[in-house]
Amino acid sequence: MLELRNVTKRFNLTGSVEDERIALDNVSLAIKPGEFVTIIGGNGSGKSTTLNIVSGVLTPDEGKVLLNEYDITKLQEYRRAAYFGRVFQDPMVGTASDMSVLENLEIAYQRGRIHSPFVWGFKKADKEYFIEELKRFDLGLENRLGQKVGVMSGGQRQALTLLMATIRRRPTIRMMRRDYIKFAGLDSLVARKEFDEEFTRCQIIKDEKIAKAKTSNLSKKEIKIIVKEAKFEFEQAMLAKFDLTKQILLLDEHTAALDPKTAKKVLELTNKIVRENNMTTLMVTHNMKDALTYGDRLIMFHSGHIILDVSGKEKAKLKVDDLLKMFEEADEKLING
Amino acid sequence: MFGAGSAKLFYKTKEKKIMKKMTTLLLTLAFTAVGLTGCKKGKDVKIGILQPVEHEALGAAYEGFKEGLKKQGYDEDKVEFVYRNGGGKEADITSFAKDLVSTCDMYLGIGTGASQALKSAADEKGKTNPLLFTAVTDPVEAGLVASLENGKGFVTGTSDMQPLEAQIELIEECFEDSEKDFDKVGIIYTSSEVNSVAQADAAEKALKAKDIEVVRKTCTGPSDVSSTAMALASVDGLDAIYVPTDNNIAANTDAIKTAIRGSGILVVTGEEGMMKGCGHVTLSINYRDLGIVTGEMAADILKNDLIPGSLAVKTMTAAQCDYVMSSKNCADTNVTLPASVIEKCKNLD
Amino acid sequence: MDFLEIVINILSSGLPCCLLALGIFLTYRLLDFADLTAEGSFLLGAATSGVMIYNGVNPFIATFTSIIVGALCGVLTGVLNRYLKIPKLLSGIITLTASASIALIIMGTAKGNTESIFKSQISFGNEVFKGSPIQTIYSLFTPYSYNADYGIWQVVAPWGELIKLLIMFIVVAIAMVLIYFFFGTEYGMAIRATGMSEKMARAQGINTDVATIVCVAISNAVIALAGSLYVQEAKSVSTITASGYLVIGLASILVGEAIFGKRTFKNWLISVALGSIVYFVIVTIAVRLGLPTELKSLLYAILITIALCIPLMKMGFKKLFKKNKNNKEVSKC
Repeated sequence: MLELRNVTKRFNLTGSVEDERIALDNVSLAIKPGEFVTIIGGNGSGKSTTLNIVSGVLTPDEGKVLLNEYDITKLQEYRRAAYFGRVFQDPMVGTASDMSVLENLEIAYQRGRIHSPFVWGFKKADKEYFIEELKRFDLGLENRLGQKVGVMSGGQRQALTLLMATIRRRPTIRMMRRDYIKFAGLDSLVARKEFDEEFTRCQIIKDEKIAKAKTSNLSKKEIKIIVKEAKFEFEQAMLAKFDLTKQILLLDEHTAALDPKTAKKVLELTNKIVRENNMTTLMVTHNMKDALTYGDRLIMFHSGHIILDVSGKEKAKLKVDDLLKMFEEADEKLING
Repeated sequence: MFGAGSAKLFYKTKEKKIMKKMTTLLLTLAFTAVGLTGCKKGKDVKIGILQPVEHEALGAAYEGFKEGLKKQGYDEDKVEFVYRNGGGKEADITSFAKDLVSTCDMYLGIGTGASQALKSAADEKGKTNPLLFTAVTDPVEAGLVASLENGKGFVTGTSDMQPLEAQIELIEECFEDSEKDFDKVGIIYTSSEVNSVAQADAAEKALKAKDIEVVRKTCTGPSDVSSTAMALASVDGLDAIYVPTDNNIAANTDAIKTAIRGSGILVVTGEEGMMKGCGHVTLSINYRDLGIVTGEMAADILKNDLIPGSLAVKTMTAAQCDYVMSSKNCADTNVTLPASVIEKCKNLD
Repeated sequence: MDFLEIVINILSSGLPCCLLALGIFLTYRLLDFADLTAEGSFLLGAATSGVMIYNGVNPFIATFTSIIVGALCGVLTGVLNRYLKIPKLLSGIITLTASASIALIIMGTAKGNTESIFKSQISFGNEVFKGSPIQTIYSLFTPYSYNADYGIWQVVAPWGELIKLLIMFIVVAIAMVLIYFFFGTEYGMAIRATGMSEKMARAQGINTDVATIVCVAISNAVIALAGSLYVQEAKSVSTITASGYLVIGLASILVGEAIFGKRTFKNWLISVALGSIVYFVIVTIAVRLGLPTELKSLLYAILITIALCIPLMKMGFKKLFKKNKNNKEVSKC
């Protein structure tokens, strides 16, 4: 689903050739939908760079980034935001400090859609949804919707950023159509035809249901409920088939700046959300134990190369000592050439 | 026992109340202070003076104004002078103008900008207290009076329009004894300054009447004074340059001085201050004298309760002006003035 | 009567400055962008309105055009900063410097100006009266009476001034309401997020370049509107019209925030506007109490310092209060 193909990225702070540092050297990586990947490596190994290239903050010097076979390498960061949810290392950066919890969530909910200057930013229906989601965090945030984020602790802000990274207003039919044509990996005319056919089919089902309800002997209220249900089912059916760009979560050492107790809480929260929603996740971490505890697949970077890529049973067998040994071996290899 | 939550609430509202009380108290004190300060009694007349910026000539006009009033019997015992200096900031000039108009019996504006601000404020407030101006080159163009002879309005004053005719004659006099043919004079000024354009037109008229060829060159701002001056100085056969009173050039006289170096061209400026920077000789208005005349007009209005408009706008005649020269500038640029001219001039150096 | 006059004077200088303070606030506080374009857009707003009114154009059109001109200034600064990667401070200075010449050209379009394309000063004070082709938005509603003694049209005092203040107040109020509602829309919130954490805004799909430019444009449009209100009151504009206003705007914001707080966005907007009035009150008191005008700059500096220290003083006050409350609770037990 998400693929890096032969990606190379060089950094050159001073402009002279000697100071050039290769962050990623011809790295190729393919991630399946629903995979929870943990990424570890030393400083400068290329793990953060990978996330930045995937999310669009950096552009690779060579190679491509593909999402469902569609080349997004040149796509601007903010245009890709609809498909990626990000949590940063610095709790201060992920949320807007002078705005309330509610305002932050409203902005996140609008991610990937046009922010209109004619629509009021606070929507009543959204507030109820946010309260529901926040309750599941069990941090008491649902009672502090009006509070400015700046007064909250780092752990609370990271939790909020996490929620913001996972919520997104359901795309409209038009958006789904546009995305499907882009990302289905088919010829655009074929994709268009397929979408329109399915759309008409689902719509017929919906209309039949509504007609049936209207001609029956049910009360007006009950008819209204059935109509609402039919519309909802229609939307869900469309989403299930066509919302290909299921959320990808990019976590860049998001617990590094928190104290151990809060870090554990946030990690457990992360795990819960990822598993419940079956989200594709890339989690960069410094902590080897966490990398082994969580996730299906583990990737280790060193000097811009992937030196370890294990999943499933193999990963479960590994211990922290094994990882350390591998890391030292790689270091020696580098020093001794 | 109060719970922690309700105690906080109690503390907040009480603090809010106190803050509100304090703010209202402060504001009331403030406004009362402002009101009370206006109530100084004792003197017969309150005259407000508005000077737009720190400037030697304008300051001299103010001193002269006070002196003119004193000479007519209105000295510091009888008159309270309220002086405000705008410091070059128009925001302050307009707000001081409003303040003066609200509180004074008569006002003086020094310079075009200040006088316009005072008149505008007086119009807005529907006041007709006497408004005098001084150091305004073209009061008709500035919208202060309908004509120089004036009429019914509440405005009058003195203009610092220099005696152009006499200045042209001065240029002529400088070339009386020389072997060169005196037939070409250049004029340099800033095209966006209305006063300068008027002076240039008048000067050209006077020169043409004497069969002298005129070359006009204009600059648009501080950046091209230098290039314009050099272009003018390099004109073939140019004998002299006349520089009218122009704010832009006054701030950039060095450019002209450099341009004429070595060419032997005579530079006559509109007034003394500019001459110090780049000129050799001029017949200049003395701003202090101008102020005195204005003061006397003010005294006249007060004494005889006249409608200001009935007094015509006064300008300085050539007889009231001073001949001034700068021997340093002459030495620097290799120009010699004839003895007859040097005799009547006051040397600044 | 004297007291009323003083209040009128303070308000007639203070109300256009409310808009100025609001405009500067939009970039200075929301985007953390010290925008020096302010004096440039104020001057251009004043020059545009001034020259259009001088040429006899309908004052409402003149006022509206100044808003557009201000927005263009803001767009220029924004584009310089975002697309040409010029640092914020310098972008503002570049636009400010350019605006000096542009103002001369704009004023040069005044009727009767044939000598050159520039004109450095426009004044139309004595041409505004009942029935004249030259009208400002205030004079359209002001009652005039003919004074036969002096042969001039005169404003009926004090109504003229009061109506002028009312119109200024309406314009300021409308602007504040519009700003409040705009920054509550989706896009307005997006702009605020951009100002607080650009990384977050980009990660949430906001085009921060465009958002910044829009905010700077709105800010300068408001400042230009302030210039337009000012010129229609002062009835003259020249190249030095805008000098000193940036400091006044910043001082207003700081004084307003310090005294009236910024708990909510609505509260913040009102504080900034009131700060401008308070600023003029203080300056008027100082001058009336005899402060020599040469020391005015020193007064501004002291005022701004005090304004910045008020939060500290408030904290000290709170501590004092808390101590008393604790004593009370102990005694109750």
